[in-house]
Amino acid sequence: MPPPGKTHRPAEIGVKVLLDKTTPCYHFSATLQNNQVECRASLKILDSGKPPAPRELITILNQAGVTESLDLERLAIFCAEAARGTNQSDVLLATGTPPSAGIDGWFEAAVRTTSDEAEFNRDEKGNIDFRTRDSFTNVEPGDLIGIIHPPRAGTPGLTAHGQPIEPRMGIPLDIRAGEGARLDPDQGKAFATRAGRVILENNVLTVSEQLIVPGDLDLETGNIDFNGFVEVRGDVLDGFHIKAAKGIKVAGNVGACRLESGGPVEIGSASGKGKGEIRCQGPLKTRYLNEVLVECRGDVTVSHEIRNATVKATGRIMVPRGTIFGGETVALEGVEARHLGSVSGHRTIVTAGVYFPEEDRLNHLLYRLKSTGSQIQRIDDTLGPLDPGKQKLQALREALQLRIDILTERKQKLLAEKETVKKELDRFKPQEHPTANPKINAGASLREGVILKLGDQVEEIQIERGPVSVIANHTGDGLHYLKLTPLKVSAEKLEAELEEKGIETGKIDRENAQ
Amino acid sequence: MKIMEIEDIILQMVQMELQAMHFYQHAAGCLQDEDARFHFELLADEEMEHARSFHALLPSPTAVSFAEMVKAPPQPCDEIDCAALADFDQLQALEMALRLERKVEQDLRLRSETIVDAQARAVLEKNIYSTEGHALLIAEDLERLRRSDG
Repeated sequence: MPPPGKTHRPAEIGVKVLLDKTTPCYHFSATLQNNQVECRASLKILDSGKPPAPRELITILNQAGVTESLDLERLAIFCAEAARGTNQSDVLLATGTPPSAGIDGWFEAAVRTTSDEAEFNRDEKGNIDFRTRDSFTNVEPGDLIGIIHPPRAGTPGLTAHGQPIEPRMGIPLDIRAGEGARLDPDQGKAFATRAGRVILENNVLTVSEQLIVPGDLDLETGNIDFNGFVEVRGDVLDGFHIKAAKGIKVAGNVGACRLESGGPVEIGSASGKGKGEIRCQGPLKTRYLNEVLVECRGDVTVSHEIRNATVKATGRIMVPRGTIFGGETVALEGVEARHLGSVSGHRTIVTAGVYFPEEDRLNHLLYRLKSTGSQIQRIDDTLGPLDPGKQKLQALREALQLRIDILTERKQKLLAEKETVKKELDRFKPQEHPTANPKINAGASLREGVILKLGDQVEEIQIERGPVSVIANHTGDGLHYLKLTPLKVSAEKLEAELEEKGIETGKIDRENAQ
Repeated sequence: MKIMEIEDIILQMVQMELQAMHFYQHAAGCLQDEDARFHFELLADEEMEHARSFHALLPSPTAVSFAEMVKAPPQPCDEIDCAALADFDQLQALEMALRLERKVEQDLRLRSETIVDAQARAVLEKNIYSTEGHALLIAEDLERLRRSDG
């Protein structure tokens, strides 16, 4: 504590003389050092002088304010050495309390930032999915990203002579908002201004709409579920999945994976091994599609080949320099390939002018109607011969009754489901699709075994032909096989021209078939 | 017998029935024959109802949720050879089911002979009774099927 009457003044840095006392017997001085936390003393015994007693020095030091911090043991040694005739120089006699360091400002993330270590998640049964790493959090505009904590002061100290030492402040956090982030200094908070993932790098907080995987998508990266755009600069290995709100780009091959995009998809190639799925709300561009299911709300453009794949598009399917071989392709705005089908006559189904989401829903409803009907029939067949009343054994009677109850309940559920399906089917009306173009172009060859579906008409190619444009024939049987015209020349326009000229379909077919 | 012991034996019976349910469900997934699959799915539902009836015997049925017990993963069905089952027709599938039910019934009878406590024995006898009824039902199904096959 400071002596009474003294004001609390912050200690000065450096060495400060605290006292300097000379008597006929000795010369005693004390300094404050090390931020005034230490009090060091020197004692010189003058010629034939008598050394001071400890009590005497205590009184001198107390008068200078050195009280609580005084180390009496050290002082006793100090006096004893002096009594033996040894002058004392710069001996530590008292130590105050140094102030503790302040806490620097810091950022408390409210979301998982990309700079954090990724973690694996456990499901409710405690199993870990090593393909799913929780490596970042998706944020939406307005979401809180984190809290910016101001620096804090440390605890105050005391000099050796009882003066308070002001605590040291921590350093304010140097953090800046980059693209997609906003700092609110009043609230001390950071917010997202756009959707994406949060990155904190070099003290700059940004929300990136892009996620780049520099190599392959594998166990190192894990499955991706991102509300921005995902770019993979390598391959996507079998069994891994990407879900991206704004688009997906993969430089290499996509294996037996599931890709789900709210925007366009651009991939090197896809070899789905019968398990791969690509669903996109925008166009799809690739070199190869092999044994994969594609559902695309836009155009599908393939530079080389579609092989044994199911490809559905609400735009066009175009393989202008390559082949569509095997599988099934369905496009609302037409299908074009250099070669359609294979020399071996492999079954290849090509449909144009159909809006697949509508057709798929209709097929699903029809399937459910048929399935519920056959299940109800099976239950009726099973219930028919069951009659607990005829059985003598009680155990069998009870077992029969239980079976009847179960089947009756099942039947009620199926009847309700069938009714729901029937109602939806009754309401079902195909929508108008102004961009529909039931037209199929084979730039070089339309091969044997290809099944063409245009409008209500279905035809299997028996003899290879081409180049050819094929359109539906709404006035007669069969399809129109016409001279090749670009896909942008609509089937409707071509058919109108035919009607205008009054030319018979068969004649045109003979003239144009190659 | 203490309440806990009765509770244990009832829970064992619930587990037994649920294991049988899982067996029939798993086997149904292996069967190609639609009639056989339908029949096995029905047997699975019947086993679940047996399990439910035992669960209702618990001193405090709400303490152990039946829905949670149904959802719990089953013990591995080692005896199911899915590839072998795939080609079973309805007749073969039901013959297998009958053999299994008879075996379970026999095991339960042997076990009940070792139990002295009347309450515990009553629980086991209830299971013997329902298993016997189930076996008789399958036997009826088989007889009907053989008759219709001529």
